Amino acid sequence: MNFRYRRWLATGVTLVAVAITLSMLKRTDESLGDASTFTGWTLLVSTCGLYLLGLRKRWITLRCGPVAAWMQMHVYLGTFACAVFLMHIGWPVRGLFEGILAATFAVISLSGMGLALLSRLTPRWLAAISQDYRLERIPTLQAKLAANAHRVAIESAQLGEGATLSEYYQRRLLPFFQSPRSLLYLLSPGGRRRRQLLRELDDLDRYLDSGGVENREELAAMVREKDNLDYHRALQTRLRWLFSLHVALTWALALMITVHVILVYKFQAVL
Amino acid sequence: MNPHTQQQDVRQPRPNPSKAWVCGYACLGAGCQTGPSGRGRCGMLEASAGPQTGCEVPLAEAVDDRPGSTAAAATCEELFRELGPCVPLRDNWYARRIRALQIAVLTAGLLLGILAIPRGEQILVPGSLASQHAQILSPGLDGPGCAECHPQSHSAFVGARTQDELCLHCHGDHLTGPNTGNPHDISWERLNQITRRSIGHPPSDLPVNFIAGETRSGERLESPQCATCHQEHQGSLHSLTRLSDQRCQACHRQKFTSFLQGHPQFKNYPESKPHRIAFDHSRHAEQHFAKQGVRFDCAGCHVRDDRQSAVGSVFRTLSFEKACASCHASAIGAAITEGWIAMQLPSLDLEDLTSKPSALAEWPNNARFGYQGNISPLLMLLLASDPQALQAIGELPGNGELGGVIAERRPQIARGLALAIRSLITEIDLHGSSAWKRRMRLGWQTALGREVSERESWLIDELSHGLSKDLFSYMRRLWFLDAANSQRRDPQKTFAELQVDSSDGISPSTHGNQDAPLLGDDLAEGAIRDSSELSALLAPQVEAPGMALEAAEVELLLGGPLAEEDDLWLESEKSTEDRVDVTGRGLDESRYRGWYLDEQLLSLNYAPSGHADRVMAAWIELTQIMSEEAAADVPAVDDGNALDLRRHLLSQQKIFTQCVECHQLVGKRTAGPWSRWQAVNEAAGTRRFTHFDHRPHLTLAATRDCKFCHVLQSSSHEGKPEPDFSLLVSRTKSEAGDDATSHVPHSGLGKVAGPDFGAISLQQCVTCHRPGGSEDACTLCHYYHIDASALSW
Repeated sequence: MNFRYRRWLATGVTLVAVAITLSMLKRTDESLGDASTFTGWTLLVSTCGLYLLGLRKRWITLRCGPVAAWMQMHVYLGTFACAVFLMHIGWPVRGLFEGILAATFAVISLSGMGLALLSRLTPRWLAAISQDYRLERIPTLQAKLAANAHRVAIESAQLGEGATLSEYYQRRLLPFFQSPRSLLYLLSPGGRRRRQLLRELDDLDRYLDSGGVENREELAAMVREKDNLDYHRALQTRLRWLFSLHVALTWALALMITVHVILVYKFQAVL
Repeated sequence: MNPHTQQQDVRQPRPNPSKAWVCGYACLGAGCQTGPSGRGRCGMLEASAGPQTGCEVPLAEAVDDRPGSTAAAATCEELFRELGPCVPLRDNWYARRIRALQIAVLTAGLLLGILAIPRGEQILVPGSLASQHAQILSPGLDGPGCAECHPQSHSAFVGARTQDELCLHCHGDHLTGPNTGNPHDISWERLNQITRRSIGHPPSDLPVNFIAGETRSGERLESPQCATCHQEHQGSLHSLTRLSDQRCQACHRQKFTSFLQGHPQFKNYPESKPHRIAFDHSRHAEQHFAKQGVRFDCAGCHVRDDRQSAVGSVFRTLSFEKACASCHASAIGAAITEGWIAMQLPSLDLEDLTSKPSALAEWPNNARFGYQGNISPLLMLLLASDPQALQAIGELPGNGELGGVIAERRPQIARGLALAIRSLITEIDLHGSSAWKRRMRLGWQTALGREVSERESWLIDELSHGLSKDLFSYMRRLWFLDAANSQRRDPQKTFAELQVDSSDGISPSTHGNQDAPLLGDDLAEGAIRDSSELSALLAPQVEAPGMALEAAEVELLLGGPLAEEDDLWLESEKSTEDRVDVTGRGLDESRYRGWYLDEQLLSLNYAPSGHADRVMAAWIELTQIMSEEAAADVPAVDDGNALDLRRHLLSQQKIFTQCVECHQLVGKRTAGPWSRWQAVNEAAGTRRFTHFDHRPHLTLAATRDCKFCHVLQSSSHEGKPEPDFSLLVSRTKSEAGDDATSHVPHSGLGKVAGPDFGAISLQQCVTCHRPGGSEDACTLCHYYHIDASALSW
């Protein structure tokens, strides 16, 4: 079974499950039944299924299918849970505790959707760059690049064509090489600054001799590499932050769900 | 292989994914394979012999990314010497787990903190309560809080009550029926009956389309809980009574999209109900009002504009004084001028009396002109406890005329009646109210063959209202004692003078305008007690701003039957001054109202005070009770005399045409003291299935004219049934004494005046009540909790 077929199958199963749940919800409502209990238990079971991925990752000794398959199940089960969640909650959500619980679930759901989306788009974006970098190593590489750029700038100043390149380096490139990119760039990385710097470097050619042009070209290459590193770092950091957000709230969510279920049955009407 | 692009094979498990720490040189691409210890210490530092040899392999393959480094490769030992000791770093997944744990601990702490603080459970409330229930969780009240409605929430209340019981603990006053909790509070037998009736019929042929005990999806429906429809914790502004249309259609067989699309057509709406006032709108509009050139304005009788509201207060009927008196007061006044002869001494044959020595020598001379006169129904009741009189009454003809008795039996019957009447007057004179009431009740028991009910006893008290003991003293002394002494009274003497003349036995308190001395203290108290009762009854049932309304009032104003302003029972405390008509010309109606004696007719008369006279009403209602029981063929006693008495009473009753022409006296007798005289029908105050609020409609210019909805049907309309006045006709005939034996008394119950107005159609309503327009929810016009007794289907 190839990936594409599996995706279509999982999508179909999810849609059928949502349709069945909707139908049963309607039937329960028409029967003057307790629709909240029905959707609540469905949501609880599906949420518990979502936690299985974490167990599978932790218990590596259990060879019960590849993690990728579990991940796919997690994604589609999460989609189903989101649909049931919308059926379960009333709108607007009332009550402080209920509101926090719903908000937590919503944050986890949205971050999960974001992860599902970005985990498919990010590799495609990263593939546009010829080189791949591991996130842990990027700071070291950036530091080394900054040191090399600084060295080239000093050499250029010693070549005697004036302080044109070194002045420009000090004014424009030094902050670029030694400062981290802004939060906005982390959220939405782009190449505007890279193109601007390269254009300015090209404009310096009229003031440089052949040695200076070589240094300018070397600095331009470094600008490209620094921007690539920044781009890699932004995309990977964004993915990691989203994942951290997705994971960090899971235990709190489990705790609140437990309290919610206890409260529901503690305060349930006595027949 | 590009040194910068080392990639992990994702298909292979990580070397040690569960390790919490990674080598500090990893960021340089030179992390050692063994990594730090579980406590985050570098293995090289922990080993006493220096760097571990195992680190050499990966480090030798690592790319030296150290800033400024020129080395192509490095070992752990070289990095150790160049960069210093390795500072292990937390692995990402471990950091995430720690973070998740911290948040979970923080959450748990907050939850425990919430439960620890007083009233902290309110933070867990899934939404604030509706404003009507908000006080339950008010922090200022020291109540059980959540346990007020959730018996299981606190261990002390486990198993105490069900939640529905807790609901009814407070709301039981509104839901008192025996079937409370059933769908629509209707018994399952009735629901099953409706269901069986609906099976096999198209929905359009049925007044109601309901599947008892089943939902639309075919599941068995048990008695729904209160919370099934009344959803709490939806915010303070949430309406607990507002239900979705889907809830209603869960049980109803005919499903439709909206009020506009698919709602069953109205059938005879508003439903014709038994009216207590026989008012023919079309006849009034086309004949009476037209004849006088007066505009027939609905507001004249149904809207009172003396209230501060947009349209005034809307009533089903205003009071008699405001709505009817302008035309009918004079007719009533003329009808009551002569008064009602409650009891009269019959005229006897003097020769019979004198030829047979008896105690009747003292029979008044004015009543010695042969066998004339009749025994009135009231007198029959009073005499019925006397066996001799009862036997004599049994031999009277249907009209009670003494002259109608066969000649051979006439002296004996007349003698028996005369003795009984004299004994009656003497007894009441001596014993007062107790004797009167005892006689009335005994007579009632004899006539109906059963005990006197509480209401009948009350009616007897009302009948006695204003009746002075002095009148009986006067009767006894001047009609009998004086007659025996051959003392004739000067007819021109005033009652006051007579009182002086015969001071013994007549209370001095009867002088002047002092309060009427009634038959006894208990009777007087009863009259006073009833006055307050009537006052409460007469209070207009209209909205009092800022006041909590009774359920019936709410219904009246917010969609129930129209309100009622019925001050029928205006108290008429009259003086007993000069209650003797010595002239025989009738009492001056402007001064004398109530009980009085007619010296010429030797009768005890009653002059009604006008409209809404309680004595007359009590008597009419008493006679009607007897009529109803006769119509229902209530088995009476085996005593033939008792049956005869009832026959006489029914045939001779003098029901005032003026009263019953308008008052049909329908409805339950147990509804209220004077409920059958009120214009409001018996279903008013009960929750019917359909309700309508007039007020918002009357604020609109387009619908302000009542005729927009209430189209008056012409009195000459062929399809319009005529008002059923058969009851009145039959009574009138019986009054004339045409054929007493053939008359079968009718019960007024259920007599329905024909509909004056055309039925309102669904199209009139959907003009405004449609999606996107005015509200069209089921509950806008329909109650769920209804009074099943008001159902007509």
